[in-house]
Amino acid sequence: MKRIGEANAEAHRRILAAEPVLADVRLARDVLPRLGDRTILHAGPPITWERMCGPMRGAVAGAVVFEGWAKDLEAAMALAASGAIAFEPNHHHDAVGPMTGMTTRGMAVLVVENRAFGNRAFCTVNEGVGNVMRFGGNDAEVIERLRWIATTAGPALGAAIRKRGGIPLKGLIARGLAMGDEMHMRNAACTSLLLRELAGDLADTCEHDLGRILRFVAGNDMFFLNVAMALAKAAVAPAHGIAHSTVVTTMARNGTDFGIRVSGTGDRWFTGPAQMARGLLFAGYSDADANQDIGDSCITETVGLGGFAMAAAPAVVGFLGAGRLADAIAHTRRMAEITLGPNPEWRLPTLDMDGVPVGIDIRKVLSTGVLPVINTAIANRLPGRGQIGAGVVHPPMACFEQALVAFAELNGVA
Amino acid sequence: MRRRGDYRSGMAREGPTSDSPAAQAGRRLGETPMKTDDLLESEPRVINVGLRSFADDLASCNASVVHVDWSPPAVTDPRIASLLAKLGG
Repeated sequence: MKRIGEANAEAHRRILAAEPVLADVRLARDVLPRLGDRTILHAGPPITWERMCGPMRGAVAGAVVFEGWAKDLEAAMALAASGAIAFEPNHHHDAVGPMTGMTTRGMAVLVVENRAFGNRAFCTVNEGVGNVMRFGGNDAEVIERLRWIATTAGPALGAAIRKRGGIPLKGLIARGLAMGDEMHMRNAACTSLLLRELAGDLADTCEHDLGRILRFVAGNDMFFLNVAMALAKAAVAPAHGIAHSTVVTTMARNGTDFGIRVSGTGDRWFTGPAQMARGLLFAGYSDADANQDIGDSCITETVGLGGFAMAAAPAVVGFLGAGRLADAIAHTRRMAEITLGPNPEWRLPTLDMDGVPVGIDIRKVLSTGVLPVINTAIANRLPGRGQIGAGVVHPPMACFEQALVAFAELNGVA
Repeated sequence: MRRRGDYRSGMAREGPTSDSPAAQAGRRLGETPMKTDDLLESEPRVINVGLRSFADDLASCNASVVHVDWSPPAVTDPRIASLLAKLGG
């Protein structure tokens, strides 16, 4: 037990010591060395084509067309079903992606460097709202926008970021928490802060479409979500692989399964059925329209953001159907019961400036029965129909039970 | 029509007598046997344990209620409970 305590303290220390910096925007093929041709990275734990949900299949077909591996969506579906496309989790490449999480060689990715540890993490650029690939969208509008991001917006943003040597994110997150963001379902403040940081350098370096790029970022309150996800991945990665640590270093869902990985059990996934989020649906939709929980975005919760920081975001609590502000505060307080300790650099005004709770311990989850709370968008179960609501969701307890059993076996505890 | 006095005396007859096993148990534990008069004639003060919605309902009726956030022990699988005991959970 002493070894576990020491290992967990080290994991917590490493997460808090992270110095994430938004360093660049590059094409995935230039920064993900193991991302091969005819390979699609997706959200969540590993999954086969046969078990993919509707939005995931729709996004895969769109990604195949985007890469030019098939001439149309029908041919793309056939190609994906034939076994000619390799599917791998983003997390196997130090990457993350929201909702369906499609990442292919030709897509632009944000590059976040953890300058305290020298590791990097990647996430695609947020496409905006509505008909987008992360919700399974795959028509010409979706493909054209992704090409514009890869060829115009991404390179322009990358040049502006490089010009100033990167944008430190830790302080920016601290300010965003004080301005009502929890960095999963509310990113209005941090998107604005990021754009304010970038606008001058973007104006200096951008050669094409400056107005469209500025409107693209400014018109999407969730633009910063993907930055926050890469930040979270970069921050938590050094805490992965510490022997004897019971800290959760990955939570992710592919629309069929929810998976976690634990520091002391290496790269093994522990999975259970992806749950249905509870929340509010947009007018005209019912529970029957909703897909199961999907996306890598709950990496934010592993570093104390999202549902763990719900008390920071009164404006989003009602949108999530999570109740009143008092309930949001209770959610964050409850997460303190299953984590190793607060982050003193990310404080919450509504909690008298207590820090967000960081470092989920599988032992605490199991002994208390308190599951991590995740804020999330709800996708239409049909591909390309977009978001139909938002809510709160939990991992299945089975993930934590499996992880504890594996951890015990690995450490010779029967 | 039953009067209030009749009601109270009826309750007293049905309640624990000074020699009943319940009364003896209460004395053994140093407890004061329930005073029915106080219960019926004073403002109720409620401690709610477990489901918050019960406390919320009482509070909405302006009742004095303290909520205790409690849930039954989470671990029901003996194997998980055994491992948690060994691993410090």
